[in-house]
Amino acid sequence: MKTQLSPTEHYSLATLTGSKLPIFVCYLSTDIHHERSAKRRAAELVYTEALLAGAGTYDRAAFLDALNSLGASITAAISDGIFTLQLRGRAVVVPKLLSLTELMMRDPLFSIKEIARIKQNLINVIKEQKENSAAIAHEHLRNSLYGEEDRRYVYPEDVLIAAVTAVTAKDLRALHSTIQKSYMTVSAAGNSSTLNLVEKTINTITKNAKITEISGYHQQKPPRQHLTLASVPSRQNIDFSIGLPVPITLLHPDYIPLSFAVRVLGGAGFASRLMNTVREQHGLTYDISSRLETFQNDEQGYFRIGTYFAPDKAVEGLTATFAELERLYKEGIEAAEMQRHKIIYQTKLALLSDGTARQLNDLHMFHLQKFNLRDIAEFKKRATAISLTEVTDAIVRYLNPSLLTVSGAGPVAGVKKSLEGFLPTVS
Amino acid sequence: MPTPTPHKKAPKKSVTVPVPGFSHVRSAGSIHEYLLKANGLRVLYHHRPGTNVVTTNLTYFVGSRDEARAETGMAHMLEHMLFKPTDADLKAKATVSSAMRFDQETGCILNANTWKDRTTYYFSYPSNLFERAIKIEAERMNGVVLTQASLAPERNSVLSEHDMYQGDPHYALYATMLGAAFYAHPYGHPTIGHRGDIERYTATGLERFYRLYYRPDNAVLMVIGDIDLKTALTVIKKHCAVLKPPPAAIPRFAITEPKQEGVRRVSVVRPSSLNILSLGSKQPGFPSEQALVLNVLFDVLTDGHESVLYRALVDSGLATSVEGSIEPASEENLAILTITLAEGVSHQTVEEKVFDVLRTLDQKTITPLLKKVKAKILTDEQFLRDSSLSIAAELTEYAAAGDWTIYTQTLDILERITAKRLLQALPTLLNSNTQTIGYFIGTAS
Repeated sequence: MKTQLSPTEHYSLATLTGSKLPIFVCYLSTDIHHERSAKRRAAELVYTEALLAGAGTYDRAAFLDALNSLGASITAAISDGIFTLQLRGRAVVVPKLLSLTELMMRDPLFSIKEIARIKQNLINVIKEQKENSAAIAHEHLRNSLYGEEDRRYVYPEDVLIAAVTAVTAKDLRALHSTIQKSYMTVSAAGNSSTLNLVEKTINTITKNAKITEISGYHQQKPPRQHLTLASVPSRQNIDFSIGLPVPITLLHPDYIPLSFAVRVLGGAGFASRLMNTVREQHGLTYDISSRLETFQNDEQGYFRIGTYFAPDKAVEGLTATFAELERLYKEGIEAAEMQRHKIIYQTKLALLSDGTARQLNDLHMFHLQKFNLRDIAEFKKRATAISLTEVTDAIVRYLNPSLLTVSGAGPVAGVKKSLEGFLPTVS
Repeated sequence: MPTPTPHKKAPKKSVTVPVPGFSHVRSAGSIHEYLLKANGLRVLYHHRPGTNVVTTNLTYFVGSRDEARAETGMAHMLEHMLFKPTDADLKAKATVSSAMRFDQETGCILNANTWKDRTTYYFSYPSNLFERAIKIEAERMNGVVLTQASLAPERNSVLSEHDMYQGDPHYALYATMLGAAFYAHPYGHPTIGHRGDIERYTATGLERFYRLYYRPDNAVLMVIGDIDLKTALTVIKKHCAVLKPPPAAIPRFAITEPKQEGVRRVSVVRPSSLNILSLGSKQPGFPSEQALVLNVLFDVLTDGHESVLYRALVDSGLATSVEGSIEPASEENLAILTITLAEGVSHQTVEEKVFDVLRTLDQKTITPLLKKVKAKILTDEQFLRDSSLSIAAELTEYAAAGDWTIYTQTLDILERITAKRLLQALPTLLNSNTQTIGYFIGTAS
């Protein structure tokens, strides 16, 4: 596979070319986060559905018919203020798929009838999310770490439903205009003729756009020890999200050492400490992992552990988890462990070559952060060249266990008191 | 109507086997099957040059179907225990198994899963690690040391997994429906098993199960990726030919579910904001032609915004989602339509609506949708064949159901499916003597 990346005035295009590749995948992303509000978030949710509900002379039925006849798919999403369109299909249908995409991005209908239908469906789906304890625990953690104007803030269900109800076609057109004027990051995998067509399509979509630089608000709170619990009685386990904000960006020299430490702690499956102790030795959970989330080249992110415990094992589970955190904080990692995780990282990179979609995901993730091919290579090289001192220093700077917020959701009623008593025991 | 077993027989060709000790069994597409003559281990080989990655997948033909009452979930529990140390590990004074060390030292992808008719273990790794992967699989085929001490924490981890599933209202309803649909056949219990059974497993019980089913003549080893055939077979022979199958036959029981007479109805009532309707009907096993037809019919009914039930239920505001699920199992199993209701909508209203829609479905509606479903399946197949890991995962279901060669013929079979054929399959969803209907009823407290 040949990789290329070329930025232009209106967009940046990265390509993975396979001479006889029978499949085609393409991501078009743009960061549209500016000012966060429930109204804006509601418009985003309606917009991504409405985009696929008719364009040009096609009403929704005609648009879906044209798309589905190709056996292809277009999905649109706005997550944490980043708009992403994903195109997927066989190489032979790419011309028609791109033609539909172009129509959709240039002339969406946003009909009143379709907006009403989408709003009703969305409200139903939002209500259904009340049962998703893992998502609730994660959302409450985010809201403990970020203010309402941050892209990571999640609006409560009732606020969001009221805002969805009020969305109008005018809101959607305004959002669409913002997207049209934003700098596009496009990554695509296919054969050379399909990729040439991608470039032509992106040129057409963006040719008259006057690119506007968007700079979003960021509202990260200082880390603090805190417990938040939400009752979801239908579940049998309590889901936990445990985390703290980290005041560095993806480009900060500490990012790579810190991400290395977080992989050792819980980001490499059975090779990680948390899986080894909390699951394998103590049998307290089926799954536990840690990661750095939502870091950008110019924006700070957060550290999070995700897991779940049975209610009667919740305190024991948190105790075992915090014991690992404290060990990491006080003792750092060992030289042999570091060497082992460098090999693990190299294997992960080698395994990317097993599938086109996997390679493209990796490329797009970096591309979206404005990395060029040399930056990507250097980032990966540095991840295997960091020193033990750098990792230890990063742990001490950013992973103080006494500053963690614990967010739990599930059948918490019977164990609320014991959970409330747990955090003060963390030194 | 297509031929019931529409598999083209390729003319028999003599194939040279590059390593003595193996015989060539058959080939289909770019996949070749070999038999290790020393012990009956089957090998499926698929070369994917240029990636420097290999996926090996060892599937044992044992699953929850082979479990008796009071030992439900044992196949799955054993799957977990196969990551515990073997005799060879303990002799080398290793406290962590060679399988886990493979992951911890190299970063390979490692996992396993258990289903009704099979238990599958797989690794994906750079090609130079092939021998290490094969050695591990050979050692743990009969060398895992099962003790109460190693069982205790793993049992707790499985209980945590069980509770994760059981806490999900959709899963809780699904498990209850299986139990009502099959009260004699072991497909009636969920693969993870019942909590009480999991709590009572002993190392001795697991050992008995292990010795009965984990043997080379009850397994297929898939090798998919960037490794040449001669090297692959040489290494497999080196490590696997020494494994001897036990003299006793593999226990298999023919179990026929008694004839169903009338609809079976179940409910799960739990504090929740959700309300769910599930409509199940017994359907032939995978990968029969009927099962593939029903898969396509379910796509026509539930897959995407143009599908029949999405338009009738979600677009109309009666439901938040519709899903169709047909699990790949070799014998008659339950195909299930699951509808999550919109707030304030009753189960009865939606149940009646679904049956009305199904009763009035005609060729005119199905024909254009079928064409699009076929195009989508074709696309999905192209994507599934893009990585060794996903090829192995898909091939596993065909191998476990009894005939892996159908994997190479699905697109031909698909091409022959007509709207008329789908309409012929439709009455099986409406037949009350095969139906199980489930309500998940969310209560305020």
